[in-house]
Amino acid sequence: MNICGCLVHVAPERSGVARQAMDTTPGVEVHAEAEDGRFVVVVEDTEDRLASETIMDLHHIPGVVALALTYHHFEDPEASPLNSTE
Amino acid sequence: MTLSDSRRTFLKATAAAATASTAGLSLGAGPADAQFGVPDIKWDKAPCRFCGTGCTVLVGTKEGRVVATQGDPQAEVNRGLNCVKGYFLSKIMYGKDRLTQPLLRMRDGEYAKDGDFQPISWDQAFDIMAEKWKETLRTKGPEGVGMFGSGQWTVWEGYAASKLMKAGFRSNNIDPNARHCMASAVMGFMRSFGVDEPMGCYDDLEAADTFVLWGSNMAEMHPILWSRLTDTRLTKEGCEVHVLSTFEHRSFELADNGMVFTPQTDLAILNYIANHIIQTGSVNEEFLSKHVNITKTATDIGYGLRDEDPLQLAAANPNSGELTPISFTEYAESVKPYTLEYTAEISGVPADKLERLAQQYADPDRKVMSLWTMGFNQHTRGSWVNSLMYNVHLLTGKISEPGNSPFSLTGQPSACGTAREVGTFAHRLPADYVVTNPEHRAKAEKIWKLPEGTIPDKVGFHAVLQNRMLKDGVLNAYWVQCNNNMQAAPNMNEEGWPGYRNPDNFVTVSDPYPTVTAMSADLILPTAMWVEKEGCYGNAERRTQMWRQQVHAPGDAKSDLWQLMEFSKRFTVEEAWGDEFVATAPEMAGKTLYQVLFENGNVDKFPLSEIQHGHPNDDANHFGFYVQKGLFEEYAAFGRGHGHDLAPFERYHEERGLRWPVVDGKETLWRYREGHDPYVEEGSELQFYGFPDKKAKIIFAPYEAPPEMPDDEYNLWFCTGRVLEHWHSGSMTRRVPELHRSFPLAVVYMHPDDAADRDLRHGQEVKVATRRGEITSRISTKGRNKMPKGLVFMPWFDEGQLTNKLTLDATCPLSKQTDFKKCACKVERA
Amino acid sequence: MNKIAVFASALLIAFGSIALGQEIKDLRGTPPDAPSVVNMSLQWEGREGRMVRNYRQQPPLIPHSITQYQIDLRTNQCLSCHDWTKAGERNAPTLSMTHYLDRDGTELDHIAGTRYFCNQCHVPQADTDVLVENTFVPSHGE
Repeated sequence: MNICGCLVHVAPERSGVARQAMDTTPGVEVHAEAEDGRFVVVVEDTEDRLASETIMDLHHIPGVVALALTYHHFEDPEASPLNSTE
Repeated sequence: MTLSDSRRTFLKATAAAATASTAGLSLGAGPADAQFGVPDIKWDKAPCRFCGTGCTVLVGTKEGRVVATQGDPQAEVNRGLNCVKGYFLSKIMYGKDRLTQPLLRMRDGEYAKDGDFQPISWDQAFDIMAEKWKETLRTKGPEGVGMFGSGQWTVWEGYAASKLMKAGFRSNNIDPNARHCMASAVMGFMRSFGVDEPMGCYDDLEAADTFVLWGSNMAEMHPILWSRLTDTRLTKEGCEVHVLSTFEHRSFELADNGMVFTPQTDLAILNYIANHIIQTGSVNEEFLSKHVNITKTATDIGYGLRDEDPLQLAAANPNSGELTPISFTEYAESVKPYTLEYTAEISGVPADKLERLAQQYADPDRKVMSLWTMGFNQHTRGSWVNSLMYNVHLLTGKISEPGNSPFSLTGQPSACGTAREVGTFAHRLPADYVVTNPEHRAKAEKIWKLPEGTIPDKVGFHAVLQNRMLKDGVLNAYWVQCNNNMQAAPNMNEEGWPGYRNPDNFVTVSDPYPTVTAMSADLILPTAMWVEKEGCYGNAERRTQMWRQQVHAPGDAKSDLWQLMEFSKRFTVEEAWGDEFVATAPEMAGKTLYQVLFENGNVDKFPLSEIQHGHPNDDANHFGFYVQKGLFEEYAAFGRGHGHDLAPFERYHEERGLRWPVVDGKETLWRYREGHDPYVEEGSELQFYGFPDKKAKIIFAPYEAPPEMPDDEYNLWFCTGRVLEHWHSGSMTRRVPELHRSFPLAVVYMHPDDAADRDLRHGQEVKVATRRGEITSRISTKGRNKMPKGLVFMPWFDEGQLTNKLTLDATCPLSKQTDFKKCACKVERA
Repeated sequence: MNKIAVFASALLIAFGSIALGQEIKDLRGTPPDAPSVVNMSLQWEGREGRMVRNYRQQPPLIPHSITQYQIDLRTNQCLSCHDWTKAGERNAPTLSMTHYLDRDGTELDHIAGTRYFCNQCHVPQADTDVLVENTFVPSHGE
């Protein structure tokens, strides 16, 4: 199970359309949006795609200028769930 | 097996938070607000309600109630962290016993001093209160009325209270509970530098090489600053932490050099360090000659007890703060008796530890940050010991630059912002002005648009004196806001309780909860708290911070500000000032105090339309103008251009606080230093501009013994203080179940040998007695504090065990701050 | 709809205090000049398992005693079970990932210095009654 935090730079004039595209991509959640076109995005594995593959897809959304992976967490689902702080 | 939904949500939140923090974006507040799974929670910033650290929290509200709080990642002070109290802020307003209606002691439908509390309306409450105040003004004059306020008041509440008392009732009998907390620090700053508050800031916590704690248990009392200090200690090569206290507490866990000293001998230790610096040739002579004057202070000055007390009568120079200039040679001679051997003997600290400490200050290559709180300030020589600390930093020039920082920590959220900067003390006016200076009074009267001579020139009753004057029947109409003084003030049995219950007196207490103080009053006013009103606090590093109202107060509870301003409507200037004075200002005749103080063109200057859309503001809507902005801007006029500059009002709603002086939109991190402080003249490098010659003062003071020491009968030192899990008297934190259960009752910490000598076991119920009273408690020989033999420590948060029945009302004779750290007690099996 | 709910609860609170009238009391329950009240135990709750949090941002409470736990320059006893390197084998909850980020947000393999003293935020709970009920209601959106 992969969970990634990404900082996505979008050309500000295209941020509306790009956001829509990200919002509709499975495994992607937009958590914050700055006026200058930067987005805080969280990407996780889905049934048929790994987070890393989805991130490559995000690069191809029109308006996306750059994407930086800033946080990555991997957790083995077979490991004991009791080990989490929740 | 798959990840649980909550686990997944948590991980995603962490991913988002990490990403946002890298990019400097906000998740918590602002338009890009993203809440994970709870999109309908609205988040807004507010400073924490508790200590003087001034962390910012994000407050989550939903359907008119606070539902969560979290550390604000954007706040410089805490960067997303809180201590356990801060994390539970969301519950402090929801104790089931919140007061929602005024309550008056009544019998047969009438006010009766010995009656039972009955609910009444606000109109009835102000009727009886105004009647009592008018009667007192008629018979006793302005000296018969008084107010006891707080370093927890918002800036504008303290400002309105000070104005109401000093200009409205023409009485300087107003003092804050900060007197119990910060007065010695203030006196130290004023005597050594001529300007109040620290020159450095929290950035020193990352910049210093050595940290020295003097009478401060930061691990419990300032946990977030402690976490920054801990981080520096654990990550910076060669960093050292030195801790001094009269017993071993949690801060010793990080100490490279922990020192337990005999109470009061900090005076000797500081003089030893000065002596060491001089003897080893470590004086920064250039700094000293350019920037420092050397003086000594009058000695044998008494203990701030009642004038007729034998100790007071025996003093050669009672209450004298007189300074005499001396030469460097004379100063060197004065500290010479404080040799390593003598100091080790008197303090009980091993010589090698003392020497290691002194070397940190003497070594020119080490940046030293000294930190202190109540151990220095609650001290019968508190003003002296503060200055002795500055002496050490001034001798070596280790001051006013990153990492070299003598730093006085504060205990209350706005001890600096409200009590000190607004000047809600019996002798002060805003921005370091004092009532005894005719120019300062004239400036205040001009800003306030009031007639010349409105503000009285006589210093009013300070905190401890107020209780004495209540007892003596001199002070008869009394209003307590935003504090719990019946639990805090010393010697409750002999002064506080008989004072409040004196049949000549009418005591009003404003509080959100039925505290011990409220229960000792005649009239209780239900009060709005924290984010139930728009507010402004100032923390220990000169940082001014604001918050907006986020929820409504329950029932009929009203803010302190509303109460002060509404009460002022009940008085005409003739009733408050007397006909004679009104005759000197005929244009004021017939007006109410409300009109002359608050409808003066300043306070009512800004319309409601300036309030940010989407935020409630019950006070402004009630009065019909943006009252908080009007009060703030009028107040800011005192300090602008005078070294205390504040930014325009709106800016504070946008920032996580700014450190004054704020000049040309820029905050000041290190005062007195060129390049950091705009008030320092170009090319001068450093200027202590609080004094006309721009030099700071070294003030020599000797060791003098405390007023009460253990003897054959009362054979233990008694020390009081706070704990991490509760804040001050516990009126908020003890109503949060998790915090209550984390520290459910106060205990007496004692050395196991002392316990064995008295045939006592851990956990056993005991009687603790002093010459002033006795209480019962439980003994703890294994808890978080390791006591030396001969000294016991007891926290004062527990209203079931009122430690102030035991404490002595001795104060520093200069600052009038009580010494809650030392008196003599005995402990026996209950 | 919400407004009505708020109004109704304000009414309830106001009503409550009228009924309260004579029986208003502080946490002592006895007058300030009466003898002390020392009736609570010092027993720490020893139950296993976790305690429910009020909101996600709340630090978890400690469901065991930590009396005599050593946390100082030499060692941190909490980490001997809760650090990510140990939690698996000790079957204990791992520290939250936030605890491995320093003040500037840099990721670390060991606990951040700012988080070193666990008991600044995490506290055990004594087995004792509340002094007064608290009417806080967590959000049910979670």
